[in-house]
Amino acid sequence: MRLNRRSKKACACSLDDCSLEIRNLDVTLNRIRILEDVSFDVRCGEVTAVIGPNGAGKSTLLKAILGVIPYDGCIHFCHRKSHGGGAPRIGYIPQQLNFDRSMPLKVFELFSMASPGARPSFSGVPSPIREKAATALASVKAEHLLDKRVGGLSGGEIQRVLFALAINPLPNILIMDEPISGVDVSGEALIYELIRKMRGNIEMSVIIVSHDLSMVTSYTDHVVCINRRVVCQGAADDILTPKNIEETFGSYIGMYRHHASHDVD
Amino acid sequence: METVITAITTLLGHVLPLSWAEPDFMRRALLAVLLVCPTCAMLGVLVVNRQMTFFSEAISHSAFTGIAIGLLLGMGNPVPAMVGFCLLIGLGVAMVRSRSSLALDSVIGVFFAVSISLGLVIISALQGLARQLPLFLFGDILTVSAGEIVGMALVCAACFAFLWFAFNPLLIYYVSPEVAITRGLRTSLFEYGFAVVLSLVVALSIRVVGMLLITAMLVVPAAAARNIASSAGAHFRISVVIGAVSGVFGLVASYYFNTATGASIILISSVLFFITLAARAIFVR
Repeated sequence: MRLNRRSKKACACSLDDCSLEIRNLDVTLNRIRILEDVSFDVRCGEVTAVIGPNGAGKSTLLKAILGVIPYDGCIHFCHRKSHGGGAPRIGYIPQQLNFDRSMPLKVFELFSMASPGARPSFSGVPSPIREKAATALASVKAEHLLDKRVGGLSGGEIQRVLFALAINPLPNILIMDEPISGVDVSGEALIYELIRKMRGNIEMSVIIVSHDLSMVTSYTDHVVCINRRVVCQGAADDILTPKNIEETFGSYIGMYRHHASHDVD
Repeated sequence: METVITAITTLLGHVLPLSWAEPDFMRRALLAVLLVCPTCAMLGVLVVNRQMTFFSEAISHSAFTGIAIGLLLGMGNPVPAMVGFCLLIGLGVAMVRSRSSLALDSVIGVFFAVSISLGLVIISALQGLARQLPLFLFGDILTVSAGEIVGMALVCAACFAFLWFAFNPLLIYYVSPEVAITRGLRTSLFEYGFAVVLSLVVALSIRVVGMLLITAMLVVPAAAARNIASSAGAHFRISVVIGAVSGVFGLVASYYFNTATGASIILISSVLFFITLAARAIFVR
């Protein structure tokens, strides 16, 4: 995951327990500085929310953590001592899939393709992989989607499939990019339920990028407000003050606060 | 190796007691078609799914410039120059694509423009070369030699081996690059491999259908299969069958109607495309 790190200086953990430490992260793409001196910790067993307006650099932050874009600074995963070394396993749930919906591809084939070393799907998907996919889907109440075409699924169904894919096998870091965008109300409830279940698993840290402030207050332990730099961070109840929200979201405050209060009711 | 090919063509003569299979050149052509058409159809599944038709078009048309360079250098057989130039263009596009934020179609468009205009400049400067071009533009499967069939068999085997390892990663990378990376699937090597295999297959198919129609041979069977397939596995298998069927029927039709073989093969696969399109409209929804 540190393949794209530009500087050579070593990153060390200052915390002992399992955590993801981000220190002085700078990202510049096409000569535009997108993130500036971003530092925060993501602890295992906790759900950390990253909030901020559009264009604040939230998706860029996730891409830097995934290691797909170059960055300066440190992104370091500190293992619990029992874990041993090695790169952490990351489960990533993208906002949506951006592909040609008419592509012939079944859900179980997606699971097979995502398993490194699996036989090519044109030679048939072996039954152990199919069974694993079925079990994974059952954990998000989506076993009926196993034989469906990926292109024919609704936004909520795709989200469930991606969730199942990301948590099997269980990752060290679970990253969700706007998990409830494009999901209907029942799908939303299910995803919140799953996040609630993940919370407290001491082997895993969860990072959620979200617009939904009511979700942030109910389901997260730590909130990081980002607008190119860290505006504020801390426990949700402490930091989601009108002043901080205004500083993070700028003129969009009215809309976001309305959304939040509506959902809480 | 070549004796093996001769033995197979002799055997084909006994197995197929049909008038079109009597001439030796037809039996060799049949063997070539059965190697090349399904291989193109397999690779075409990735081309169609990853929307790389324009990319394969650029590679196949850069064969023209490769041939012009080969003839300019006085090579008796310009095929190595052609493969080399196709590789250069394919790898060039893959590299620029991975390192720049330019939209892919404009990157390909620039490479396409450079290679075609370079080819035209060479051809126009050395007018004597123009006479040798039609063979490469339109292909000539009926003069294929046993040695060339051996080459085709090797390229087919290489292509299948590549797809065995690269098919899954390249498709999931197209569906979601981030998911592919977090699953530990590093695909950048396969992206370059894809350019290499595509260049080799283009060079191989020029003999069969000619440069003008190579993209059609890659794309049409896979597009036809896509109309009726619901899974990636079925897409691949149906595409191979459509490739083989249109290859054989195109060859036989060209024998009886005395038409260009390559174009006949493409016409038959195009007819199959419209049939599957109609089948999709009727049976799916």
